Amino acid sequence: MFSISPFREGSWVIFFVFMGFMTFSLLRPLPVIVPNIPMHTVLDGDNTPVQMPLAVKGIVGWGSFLPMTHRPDLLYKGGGELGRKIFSMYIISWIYPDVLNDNAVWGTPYNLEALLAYDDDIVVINNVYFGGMAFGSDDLQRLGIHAIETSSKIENDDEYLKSNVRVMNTLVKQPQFTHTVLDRYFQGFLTLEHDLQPQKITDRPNVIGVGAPSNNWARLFVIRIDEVKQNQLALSSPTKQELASGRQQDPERILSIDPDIIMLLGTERRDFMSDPRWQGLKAVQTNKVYENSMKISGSRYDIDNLPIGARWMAEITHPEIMRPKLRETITKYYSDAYGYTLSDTQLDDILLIDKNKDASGYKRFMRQGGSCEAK
Amino acid sequence: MRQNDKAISSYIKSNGILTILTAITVISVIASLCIGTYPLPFSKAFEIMMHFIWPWSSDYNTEWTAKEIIIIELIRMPRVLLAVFVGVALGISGTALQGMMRNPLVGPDLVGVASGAAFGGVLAVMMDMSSYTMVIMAFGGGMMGMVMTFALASLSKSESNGMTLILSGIFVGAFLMACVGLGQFFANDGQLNEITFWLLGTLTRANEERVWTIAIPTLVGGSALMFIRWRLNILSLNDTDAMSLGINVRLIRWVIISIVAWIVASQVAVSGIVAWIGLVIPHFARMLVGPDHRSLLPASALLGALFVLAIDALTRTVIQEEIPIGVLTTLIGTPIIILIFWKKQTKGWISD
Amino acid sequence: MINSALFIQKKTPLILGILLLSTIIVSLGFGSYPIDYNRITEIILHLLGIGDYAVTLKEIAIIEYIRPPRILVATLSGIALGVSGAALQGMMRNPLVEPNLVGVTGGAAFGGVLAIVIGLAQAGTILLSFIGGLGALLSTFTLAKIMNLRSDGIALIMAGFFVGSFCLAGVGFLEFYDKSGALPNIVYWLLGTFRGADFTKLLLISTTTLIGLTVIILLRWRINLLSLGDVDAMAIGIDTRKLRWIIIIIVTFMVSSQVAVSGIIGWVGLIVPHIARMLVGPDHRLLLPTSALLGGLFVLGLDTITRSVTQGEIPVGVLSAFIGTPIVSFIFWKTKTKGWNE
Repeated sequence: MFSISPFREGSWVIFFVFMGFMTFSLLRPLPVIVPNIPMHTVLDGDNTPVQMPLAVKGIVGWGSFLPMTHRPDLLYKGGGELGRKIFSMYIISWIYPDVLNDNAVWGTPYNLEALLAYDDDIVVINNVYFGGMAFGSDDLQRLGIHAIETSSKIENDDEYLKSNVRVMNTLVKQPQFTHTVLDRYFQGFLTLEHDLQPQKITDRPNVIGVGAPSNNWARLFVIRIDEVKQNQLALSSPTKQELASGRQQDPERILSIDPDIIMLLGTERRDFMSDPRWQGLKAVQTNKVYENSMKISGSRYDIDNLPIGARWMAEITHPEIMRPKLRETITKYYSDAYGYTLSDTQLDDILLIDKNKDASGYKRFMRQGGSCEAK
Repeated sequence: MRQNDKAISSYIKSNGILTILTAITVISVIASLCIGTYPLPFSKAFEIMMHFIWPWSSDYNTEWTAKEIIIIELIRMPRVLLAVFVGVALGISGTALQGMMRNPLVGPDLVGVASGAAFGGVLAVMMDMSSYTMVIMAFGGGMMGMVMTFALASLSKSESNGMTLILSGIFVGAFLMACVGLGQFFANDGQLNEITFWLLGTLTRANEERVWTIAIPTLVGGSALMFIRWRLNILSLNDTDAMSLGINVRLIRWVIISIVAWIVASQVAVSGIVAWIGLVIPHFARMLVGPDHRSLLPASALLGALFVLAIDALTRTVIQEEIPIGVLTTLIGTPIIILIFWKKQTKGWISD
Repeated sequence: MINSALFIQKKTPLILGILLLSTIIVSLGFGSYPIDYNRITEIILHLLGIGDYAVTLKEIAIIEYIRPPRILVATLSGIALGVSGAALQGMMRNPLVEPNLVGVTGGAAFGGVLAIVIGLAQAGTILLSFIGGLGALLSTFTLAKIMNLRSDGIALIMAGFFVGSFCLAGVGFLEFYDKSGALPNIVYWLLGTFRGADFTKLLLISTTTLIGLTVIILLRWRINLLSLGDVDAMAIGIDTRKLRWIIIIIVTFMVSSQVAVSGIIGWVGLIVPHIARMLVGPDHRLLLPTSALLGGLFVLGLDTITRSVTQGEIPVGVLSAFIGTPIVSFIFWKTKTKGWNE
């Protein structure tokens, strides 16, 4: 009945013992990693000192590296084709076209070993993603890959940006550039505040952001724009008690909130205005629906565009107070920061003049003496 | 005499295959450690590996750079070990369950363990827990799923002849997956990404903790299953015959299911839901060594390990991306299982 | 005594029908935007052109464009699922069968997601859903036949589970493969939601459901005969093979379009026929209409709850799972295994 056969038992016993043996090898102490290039200490986002290569040859991870350091020569890998697509949606891709067109930059490492195969003086900023899983700087440092975290869970948006700029610039050995970038950033808001005089505003309109990718209203989502601290200068937030930002919403909620102004994200203005559901909204009836783009407001942590986006919203929401100065502001900013002159056509593209030309008050954003006329 | 000859030749055949299989698997494990994206010549990798495994080695050879050592010890070794254990765990579980239930369509998710573990893991991600805690939560969830299945099955007044258990497992599994869906619905973008890829089954996050988490249940539980595998042969007769041969059918069932749940919970906890291996490998192994569980169980373990190793090697070297392993096993496993079922069309499975 | 009980039983579909209609009308009053019933009456009268009431565009949008499609799509989905579940259970002589468990919904979801990933238009999505659903159902039957000489019983459910998990794995693969950010899109689809209901979807699902419902109601007597067993049924003169095929195709037809319109909603096709059976007994002449109406009530009720009570709008598929599980446990408690294999 039992018939223990050495072959049968042997096959699995030998194998299991072999595997157990291999597993025990994991208990061995690991070699100490001694870096063989000169290092210096950099304080990372948590103000923890980290050893980083003294002469950094390249950065992995585009993120906000370029706007914060203006060093396209140091961008080694910026993420795959998807990263390239996202990069091309920002103004900065116009300023650094070589980066956009350089195929080497957009070939991403596809696993840990490939990452390890890079030279020692390559640094990874924040996370890399392999197969959907994020690997942070702790995981990478353990493997001997130089990685630094530019900011951890900082809640305040301004502190987050400041930390990012500081760490990145210290890393590439231009610490004085931190002040240049941050000064320009805060100056944008100071000018806006001066022009807007927010403390004197009594009537604050209700503004929300709405989007439904591919007009699939089952995926309708709503964003509370005022959650971004930088936008709070210009916007009010009586929607606070009703809405969870970024979540998918019922069309009826939007109707019951009935905002004064709607910013569209990811939906065409044309489609929104012609949909019968939204006809009753006062924003639709007063034409106060505006299509937003990445080039105007950027992303939540876009240091170039946050002041510009805030100004755009301020000029839309308080046209009686703000003089039309947006085009000059944008042109002046990019000329000061990057030495890049934006043409009129480019500005039209940025501000989506074509799509928004029927919106109320959008005439102020058009070229003076140009041929575009608004209703 | 002729019958004896036939028995002997099949005996030799299955044993021969087992031996060859063991050899191939061991060689594959070693070979997997020597291949990868990083430009490391085989011989050097082999040397480093041997040095690492052997507990009484001397100091490191200075010719090896730190990076090369890290590759073998920190990246490849946990990954290959994880792959092997996942394969072994699922192979053994699938075979044991199919033999016990006398049903070829049964998979390791029979008692809702995988769904429960998935739910535990999703819960952990939603609460932003660390990677290590997620493993624990997933494990706990898996055991909870099993308990729920048993509870549901015990509600039924009929005698538990396995059918009730399967049904309750299906329902509990569906319920838990609905909870997983709910979690996905409430997740924000970053969490959703992590959840989705984890649910698809991934070996990307291989590290020591995970290897230990799956190694212990698989080796210990697997050995336990191996020790009682001849009883699986007897279980494949129907219940009354088995009991007349002196086997306590209910007890054995409980034991097998509990061990399998333990193994599968640990597997899902460390690598997400890897589909199809528990279903395909037993059939494949059956084609090689026949239905005798005394050879079948070891064969499934070895084949499972081989299968996952091969797929993982494919991902690591040839394919230009870290594809979740569950996706690959689905793609590769489906044609295989269609082929197997096609061939089996003439043979009946369950005696009426 | 018996006469009056039977009388009520026979009239159950009528009662349910009236209940359903009133629920539909009452649901018009539910939603995030508060409108009371007087106002609704005024708005409806205005829309019909009777009377002269001042209504805002917003209210018109809600009462005309937002709520009715959603309510009607929910009701029709429920009807489709209820009657499909009852038909499948009658055909298979197995009370634990439902469209989700035999793999139809998984296949339809796979087809639909594939269509989205390829980028087909609305019509293509529906077609692929149907093909997917049909393929899955046929695979289930084939698999069950291979594994077991009978094509009903436990083998069917297991084969369905097998095929269903394959389809869901396929959906997972497509999720991974399509990196253009459609991930949340597919998640909502898999959980069942009526949020995106518009007139196009309403048209689709009403056409398929009404056609399917009609066909099945016409066949209700023959489905009764199926429960006698194939041999006896054929002796009476029913072509059981053809009948089975018709039911399969119609069920797939209805369920695939339901999935294409609102995602996977499981459990309804399982528990609604059971409750219906408790109300009117196993006679399919009553059971089928009752299941249909009950299904409509059930899903409509779920959707109304999720629309108004829960802020986060829990998907209907999840709610049906939460409610379905205790009911299934109850069924387990009451039934014996032996009864399933006959």
